[in-house]
Amino acid sequence: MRGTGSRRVLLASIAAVLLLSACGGAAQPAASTAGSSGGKSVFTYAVNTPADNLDPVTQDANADIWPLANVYETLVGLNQKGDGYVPDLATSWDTSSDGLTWTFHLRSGVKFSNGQAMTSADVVWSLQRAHDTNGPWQWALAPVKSIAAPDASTVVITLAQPWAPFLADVSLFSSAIMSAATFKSATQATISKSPMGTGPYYVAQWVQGQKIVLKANSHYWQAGLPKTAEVDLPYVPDDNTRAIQIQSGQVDGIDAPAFAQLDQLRAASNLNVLLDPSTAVALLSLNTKQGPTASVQFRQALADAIDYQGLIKTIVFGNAKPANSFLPETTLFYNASQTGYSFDLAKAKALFAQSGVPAGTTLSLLVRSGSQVQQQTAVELKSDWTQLGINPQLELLDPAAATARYRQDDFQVDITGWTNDIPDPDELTTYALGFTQSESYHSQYHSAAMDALITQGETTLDTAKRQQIYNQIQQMAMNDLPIIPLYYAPYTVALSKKVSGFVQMTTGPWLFANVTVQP
Amino acid sequence: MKQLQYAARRIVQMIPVLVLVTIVSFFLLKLLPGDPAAMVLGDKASDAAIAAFRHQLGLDQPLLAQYLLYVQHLATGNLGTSIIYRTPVMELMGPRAEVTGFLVVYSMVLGILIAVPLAFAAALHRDGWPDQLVRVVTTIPLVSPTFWIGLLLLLVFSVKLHWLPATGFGESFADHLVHLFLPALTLSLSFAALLARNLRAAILDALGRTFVDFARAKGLPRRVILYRHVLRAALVSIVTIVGLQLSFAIGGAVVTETVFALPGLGTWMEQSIFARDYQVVQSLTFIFAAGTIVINLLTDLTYSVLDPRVTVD
Repeated sequence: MRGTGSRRVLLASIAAVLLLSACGGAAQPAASTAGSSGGKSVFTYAVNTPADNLDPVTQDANADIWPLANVYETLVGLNQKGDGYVPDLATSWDTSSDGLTWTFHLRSGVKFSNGQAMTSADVVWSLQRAHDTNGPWQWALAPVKSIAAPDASTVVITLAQPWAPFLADVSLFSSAIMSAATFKSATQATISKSPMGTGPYYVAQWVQGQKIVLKANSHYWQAGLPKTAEVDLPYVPDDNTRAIQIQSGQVDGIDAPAFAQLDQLRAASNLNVLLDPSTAVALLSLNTKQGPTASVQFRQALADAIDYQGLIKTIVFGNAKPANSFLPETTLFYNASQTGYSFDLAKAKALFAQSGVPAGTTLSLLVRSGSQVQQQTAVELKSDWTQLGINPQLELLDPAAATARYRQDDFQVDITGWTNDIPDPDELTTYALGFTQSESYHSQYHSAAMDALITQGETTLDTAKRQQIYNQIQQMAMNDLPIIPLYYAPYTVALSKKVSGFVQMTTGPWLFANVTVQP
Repeated sequence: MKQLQYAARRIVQMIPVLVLVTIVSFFLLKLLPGDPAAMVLGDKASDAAIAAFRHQLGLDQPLLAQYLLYVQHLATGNLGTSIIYRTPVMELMGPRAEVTGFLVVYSMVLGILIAVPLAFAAALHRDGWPDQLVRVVTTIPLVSPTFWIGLLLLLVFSVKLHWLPATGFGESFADHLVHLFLPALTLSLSFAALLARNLRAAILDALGRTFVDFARAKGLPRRVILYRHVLRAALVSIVTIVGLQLSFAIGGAVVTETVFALPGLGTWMEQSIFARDYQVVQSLTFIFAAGTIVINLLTDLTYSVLDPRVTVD
């Protein structure tokens, strides 16, 4: 045939291009989420958010914090319930009578996962770095004046003023003990990408946006731990896909199954669904400076017009309790007898009339696309608040656009939430009501009386007195209402029945050290 | 030679189109509200920290200067550094392109394997029950959303029957074939349906042509007539649809990769848009656009190979 040769060349080159696009020029094998076929030695747990910075000091996301709890440890640990402290890298500690000098006695025989022994020099370097680094957790060690190591197994920390939440702050992940020798001259990129601590696991592989592989630290100081040699954390953003993965047995556990899927997962005979007590609070932040929400009566009217039980039924399928305080129930000094808001349309209408806000006023709700919970919450709120005689409008934006609006205080109602990182109420109180950190959730709430109470709460060492102070704070927060707490929902986890020993702290971190998977 | 000249001319014509693509992708992205620095540093970051990070990324420069730097880098083959991953885009692209490339080619092959027999069965029994059946069955994937088909296949083959893995890419070539079977099938079904319907029409058209009558009159065996003459005449229709579908498949891959948790270009594009990872979105847009243009060119060139009556000038 005429011209066959040149046609062959052309067809071959087409095939070559297709083949090239198929190979992508990559030599390295791509990731797989499999690995559970052999059982026992690997625990695979699919997570819904990818980690993006594994430096305990500069990261800012639960997706980073929660796996890191298996890699880094702190001087003082939290008990599992999250309401008390236990020895971790320090076996004991003493405090001077004025509360200004804290002496920590380090555990002997602790090694980093590279085999190097941990000494007081590592502790001093790590805490000093956490103290000096400008980042989201710098508040934790802010009251620290000096950190010294009189000998290899003792660390003395001096405070500028008495500081009630100090042990909580030392237990925070940003106060994790890192190896000074390894990280002293490392770049920030190295610290973020190659974590190395004293925890039961070390990060053997991290493919960003895809998975983290943890392997057992053979130098771990607790005998017999960890029980499983490897933990794989593949990133699987889609709720349906994670649910299918666990039902098909491809993974041993999934994080955060959607509330809508819990019944379906419970029905599977080979699965356990856990509802772990959490420090999660679903919140609304209200703009206290602009728009109708600048009126406190109007804010209270909104809170009274919410059908909390209906909201809980629709959104979390009944798996939550209405919130009566901005503090989670699991936080120290949470006041169980604080009066919350409950659905009372008559009262809401009376408050609305007093507020001077005209009927039919438009109220805009900032809603982030991609979050089913936020979208459903917004729809429920719209129907509740329409009964009040106002005109709620949903503004659906993608998360980056919504974040920009939130940071510029350019919203009326923002749907948001919180999880604690320490059991002490100071972190959340300062963040949500103390203005300087976040403009009080960008509600711009700023009250001199509140600021004074927050300072008292921080500097009063007597527990009974602190309880009184935090009761007052919770009362004032509910009256002034820059944020409306909606409900306390548990963490959701689904595990294969072959898995035991899985622990999730109330503050969120997963602890894998005791996990075993039957073959 | 004529084909080579034609190809060279088309490649030159690509340049202004690609420049336009860089302009649109760059400025459209910057028009979107949202700031990658705020996304990376999180809600707790101070305004000062965000401003410092923006400066470090060069995002505080005038837009035009940023654009020129981007184009200058692009021209030298430098795709920049991902803001979220703090890693060069090139380095991140390789493994992901492998997944998406494999998926797209695999789905094309599956689609052709499904469509060709169906089209022949329908065309050779025109208006008979195979024809009716094919026509009804092929409407289903055309009107069903991809993610729904994907979830359905997962529920049946992974959850109920445990025949195939639900997600992931696997480690070896054979592993890839197994892991990607369901996603490739998902992606291929609408393509197969479209192809089967078009191919059926093309075969019927070819069967009615005089060269087929002539071949029959010459006494050629039926198999030879079908495969050498009819199928060849119908190939143009396959190539057109494959070319079109390759461009669509890149879009379809975004949905399919999300459902099957595949670490490919599609899921990466989606994540990068949400995180405002400018460098990644710009690079991927550019590469997808260039890929689409190249595929169209190859499609056009293939016509003239398959059908000498089609001239390329």
